[in-house]
Amino acid sequence: MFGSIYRFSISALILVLFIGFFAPVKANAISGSDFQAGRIIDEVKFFSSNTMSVAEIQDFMNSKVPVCDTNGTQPYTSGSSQTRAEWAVANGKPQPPYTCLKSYSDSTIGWPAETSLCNAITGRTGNAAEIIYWVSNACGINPQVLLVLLQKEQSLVTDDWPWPYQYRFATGYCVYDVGPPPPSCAGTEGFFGQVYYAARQFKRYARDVDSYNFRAGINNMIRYSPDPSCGESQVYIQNQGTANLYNYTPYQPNAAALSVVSNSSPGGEVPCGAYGNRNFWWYFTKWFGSTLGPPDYSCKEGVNFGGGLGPRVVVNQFSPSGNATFTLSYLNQTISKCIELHTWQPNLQSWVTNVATNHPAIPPPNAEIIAGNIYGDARSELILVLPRTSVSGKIEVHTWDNTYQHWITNIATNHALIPPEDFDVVPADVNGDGRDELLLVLYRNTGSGKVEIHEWNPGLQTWAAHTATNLPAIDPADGRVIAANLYGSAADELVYVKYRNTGSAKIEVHTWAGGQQSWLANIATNLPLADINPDDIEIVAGNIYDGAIDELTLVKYRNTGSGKIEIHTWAAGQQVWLSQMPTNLDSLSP
Amino acid sequence: MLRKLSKKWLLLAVAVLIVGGFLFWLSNKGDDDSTTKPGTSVNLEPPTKEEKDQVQKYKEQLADRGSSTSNTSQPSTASGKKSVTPFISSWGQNQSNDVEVRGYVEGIYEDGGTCTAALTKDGQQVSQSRTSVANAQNTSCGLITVPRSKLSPSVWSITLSYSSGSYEGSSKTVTLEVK
Repeated sequence: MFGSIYRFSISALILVLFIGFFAPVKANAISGSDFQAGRIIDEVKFFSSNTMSVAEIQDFMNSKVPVCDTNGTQPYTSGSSQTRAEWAVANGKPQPPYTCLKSYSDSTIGWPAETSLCNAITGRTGNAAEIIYWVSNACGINPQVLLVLLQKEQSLVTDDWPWPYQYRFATGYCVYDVGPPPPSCAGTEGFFGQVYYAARQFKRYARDVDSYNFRAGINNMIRYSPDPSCGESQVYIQNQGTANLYNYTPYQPNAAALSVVSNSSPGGEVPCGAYGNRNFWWYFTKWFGSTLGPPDYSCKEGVNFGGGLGPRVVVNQFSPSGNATFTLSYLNQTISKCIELHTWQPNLQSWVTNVATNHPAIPPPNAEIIAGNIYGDARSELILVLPRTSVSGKIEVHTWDNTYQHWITNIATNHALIPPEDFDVVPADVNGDGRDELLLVLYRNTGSGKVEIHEWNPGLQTWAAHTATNLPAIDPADGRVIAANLYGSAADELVYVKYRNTGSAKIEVHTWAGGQQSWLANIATNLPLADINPDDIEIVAGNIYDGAIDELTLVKYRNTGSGKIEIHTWAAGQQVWLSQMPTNLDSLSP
Repeated sequence: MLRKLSKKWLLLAVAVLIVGGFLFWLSNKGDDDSTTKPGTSVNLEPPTKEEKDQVQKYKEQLADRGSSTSNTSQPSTASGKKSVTPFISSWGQNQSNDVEVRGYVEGIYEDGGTCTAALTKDGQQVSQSRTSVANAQNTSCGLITVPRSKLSPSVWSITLSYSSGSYEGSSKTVTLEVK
């Protein structure tokens, strides 16, 4: 008898341990500490219009209101003996029948296409799911954003007895005083008008950035509440999706409003609290998953292409303090079939991280990876530049977050595609504000006949400056422009590195004065051209020794004495070496 | 004896594990069994009690408002217009060293009002205006740029004011060291 109990116990113990090991553990519980004021939602989530079909939107709405209280027969409050219908009669509020969102229909108004806003909309009648789908597709806004907006503003998604007022101002657009609508609010009332104008407005924020208040890529002062006495704080808005939310609802939650967030609730009210953007973030996360870029290993079905490996060494301020380190980027022929980023320890013999990114492998001529401190956060972001082929037909710039699994921004710039060998995109802090600007450096085929430097404004849709330098157009095989802080001033200098056809028969480094019309320094380095094939090397720059200035560094990819990729770092003046180190990697083809 | 004692302890341990495991499962059950469509992360669960409570709370707010909308009780100014308080959302110098000021006016929706950024220092005033644009939930002044050539290097006070046929008012003052 006892033996059978013993055997049962052993079996039960094994079973319990088995279940305990394999049972799913609660994942991704929502916490207020995950809210990022500067990055509430990424652009790729905000502007993806193909996330749901009409049927999927309808299924989602059905799930959130399984039974609509059409006749108001439910108790007004839990435990109340008064029905909603009775309460409405007694209090002069809207009376049944109530129409829930899943069953609501409205007429759309035909709208012509507007440049960079919405495509044409046909006038017809549709249910709420269809209207959300049509507007989402016409305007290029994620239908999930619109669903969450309806919930954030009027609780329409989960309300089982909505009132006409909630449809009249469904997205909170232009909720004007009692009386005739102001001219600027004409046509915005009603479900379709509210959804359409909200989506169109989100596109206006992106198109007409200088007409609105909150801008991505700069510090913005954002209040905690409509009550001015509650104060405000500075937020660096990282992307247009987040700027859209603040332009629509100009408040951020304070610490107390975030402290009451839980996995089951967006949280209640607190002193000086504002909840619109907090609730947007919570409902989106709860219903549709992360508000941040592609949430998974999205290149898992990537393929390698014919062609080279495309390895390049990028100087990467991997940690927010201390020296910069080096990251080896592989664009193609990777085991993961994704673009891979391998970051060395300072000794170049082992790795800090080895990451297969979220982007499939890509032929090397079609992409370049650069590193820049775009957000002023004292570290480098790694940026994928697509100069040759892009869906948009423009030079595209895609910025990874520090996991390299999510995009912070995906930007089709204002510049059309041009031959990739004719230009570089160079991150450089040219104005000394602690953040790198992106520069388009054109080497040849320029209107001025000179090497030209075009500085983008944040958002990469407009220009901050155009400079025709004092340097006649060059063959990019002979030289490239990089940025480095070589003199300890607040701003970076631009440096023309000449690899071939130099007067001195050495690699030369020419540093521009600000404005790029004259030279601060023209240096023939200690590196004779006779000793090196320019195709085997690259000169990069970064704060390698955590000092007041950046160092220039020679990367030797192949034909090295050690048989390994080598990193040689110059002392200031480029006549002697601070360090010459072989890495742990065999030499490769650049 | 030792063998029997071990067995008793084992039985106790198994009982604790089973009860503990059940409690752990219960504590995690609520949020874990959300139904999601294959291939998507859409949550198709009915609303939680907390989500329903949020709706109820909103309904009560709506009832308290009497279904009226935004504030209609702004005080009037001396000129008989309603008073508003613009807010400066960013200010600084751009790459060309021109001063940029952005801001908005809450509670109203107007195209065609006038936003004016005024920079003052030692009795000297430099100002620049821009026509307002109606925004979704406020009135936007957008970007107002004051050329650097009109300013001397010093600390300047910046105020954003708004004026239209019906409304007027000024923001609180911020300062900027113009370089």
